[in-house]
Amino acid sequence: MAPLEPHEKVFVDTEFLEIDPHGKIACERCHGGNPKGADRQQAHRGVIRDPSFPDPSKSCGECHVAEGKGHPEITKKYGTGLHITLAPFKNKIYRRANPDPAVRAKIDSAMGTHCMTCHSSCGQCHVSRPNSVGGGLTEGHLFKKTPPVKTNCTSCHGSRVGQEFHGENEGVPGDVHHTAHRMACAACHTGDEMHGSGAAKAPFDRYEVTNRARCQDCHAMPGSSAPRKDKQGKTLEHPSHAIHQDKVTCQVCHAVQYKNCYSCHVGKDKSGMPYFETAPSRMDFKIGLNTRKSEERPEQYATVRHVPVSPGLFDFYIKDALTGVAKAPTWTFATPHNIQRKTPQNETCLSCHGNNKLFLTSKDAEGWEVEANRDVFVPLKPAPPIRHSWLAQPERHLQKVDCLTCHNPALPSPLKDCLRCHGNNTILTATAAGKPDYSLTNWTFTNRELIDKGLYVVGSNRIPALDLLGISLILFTFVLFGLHGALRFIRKRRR
Amino acid sequence: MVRRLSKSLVWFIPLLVCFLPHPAVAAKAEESSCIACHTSPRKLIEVIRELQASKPPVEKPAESTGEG
Repeated sequence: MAPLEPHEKVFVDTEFLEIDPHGKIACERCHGGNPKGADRQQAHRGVIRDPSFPDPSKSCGECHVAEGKGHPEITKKYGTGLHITLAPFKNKIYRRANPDPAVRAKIDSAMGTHCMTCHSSCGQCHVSRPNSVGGGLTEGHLFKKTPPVKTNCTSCHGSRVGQEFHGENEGVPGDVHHTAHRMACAACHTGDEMHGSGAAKAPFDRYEVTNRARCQDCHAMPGSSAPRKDKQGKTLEHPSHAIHQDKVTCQVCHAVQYKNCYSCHVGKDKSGMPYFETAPSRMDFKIGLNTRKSEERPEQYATVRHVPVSPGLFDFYIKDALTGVAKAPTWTFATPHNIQRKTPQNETCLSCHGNNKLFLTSKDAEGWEVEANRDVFVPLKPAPPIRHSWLAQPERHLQKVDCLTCHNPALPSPLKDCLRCHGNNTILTATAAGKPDYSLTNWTFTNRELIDKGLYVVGSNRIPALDLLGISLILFTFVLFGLHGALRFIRKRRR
Repeated sequence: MVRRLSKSLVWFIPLLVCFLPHPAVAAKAEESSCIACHTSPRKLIEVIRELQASKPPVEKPAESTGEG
């Protein structure tokens, strides 16, 4: 995002005065100041740069609109809007903070200087760039109903989400919603989510926002005929959805490598300017246990991202500020924004199952983090050949038999009886009774997916079209024999 | 006479209401000093040059490293 020249930041386009209803309101009514002042200094005395922060109900919320809609309805909820309150910062730091009130006061002061300056407001989304990235009117003070992505959304959410979504991490593709469908942030993250719920209790963080974006808003999950909201998206037909639904979050299968941040420290330089420094970020993909399990989020596994908190975060201001670092994980529930249909981990069952590199373990944590992430670490299971060692030839079965043959979700438990396959009139010689509806076999001569994988799948041991062709050839041969015999008989009679 | 006067008032009052400037428009006309300056890039550049000359340049903290 190119920076604005100082004069561009305060330039008001005459178009704003002509076509924008807000341009009909006197400047000082929102911004204060004294337009009758004798000079620039007097005119700007008492000017409010952003009238919508911290309390927009006195500016944006004043205008009369139909009851139940519009600005007053939005602004009265501002106390639960996380862009204004930045409550999650405080909530998450306080979980780790030293309970001593004197220390808390120092932490509050440091957070006020650093963390809490990254807030937004009505104006800093709809009129100007956020102050934390230098501010400046985006389009000559014209009010934009949907904030522009580059100047407003990813100017703050850029290092992780923005780069992931736009494919700016080297070698990692952008999110399919952006690359294939050109969707902007607001396509999923609606005003309802951004403006706060207005509930009595403010959400702990963005994953608790009532109207947050969900994949199911657009994509109908197996077993449901329509998406949650009146939005269009591909229905999830692949059998894997029925198998993994409610067990892993969508990102576990559909996200790719994303950024993890480490070791943030804040302080002030020699001239008193606040600064921060972090260790180099790392691209990684980790599946951890879901520590935010709830009725709405029942999955056992979720993608987890390393957050940059470190025990010495506030050392410049006060030592031992975060004595409770073990009380909250440093690998936290995450929803990486680089969704792909096909990913390395969803290529085959064994790309994920038994691939221990994907799972978060204590090896991924520094010494001080181990206790904090104990509930996130995944207890690793033995490798698939070991778990299948009861089979006569485990490796061969794993290579040649599709996992779903035995782990058929239509059956109450995985098949472990050898004779169910290796015997007369078994599922290997007949179309299986428990054949799933989503069998990969169709009325086609070839089944590319099966051939590519070189697998055997129950129910696909014969291709019906080939069967029909074979039977036709046999019948045709008999017909030819008969015809040949008949012709020879006729010829003999004529002689 | 009274009837003529009241008849003319019937016409005069709506006309007055129509042509009297709306409070917001009136306010805008008064605040021309804000608009005159903030809609002119040339004036803004001049003012900013003046300000920059009188104030030391604001620098970014030298020690910030990493991604926010």
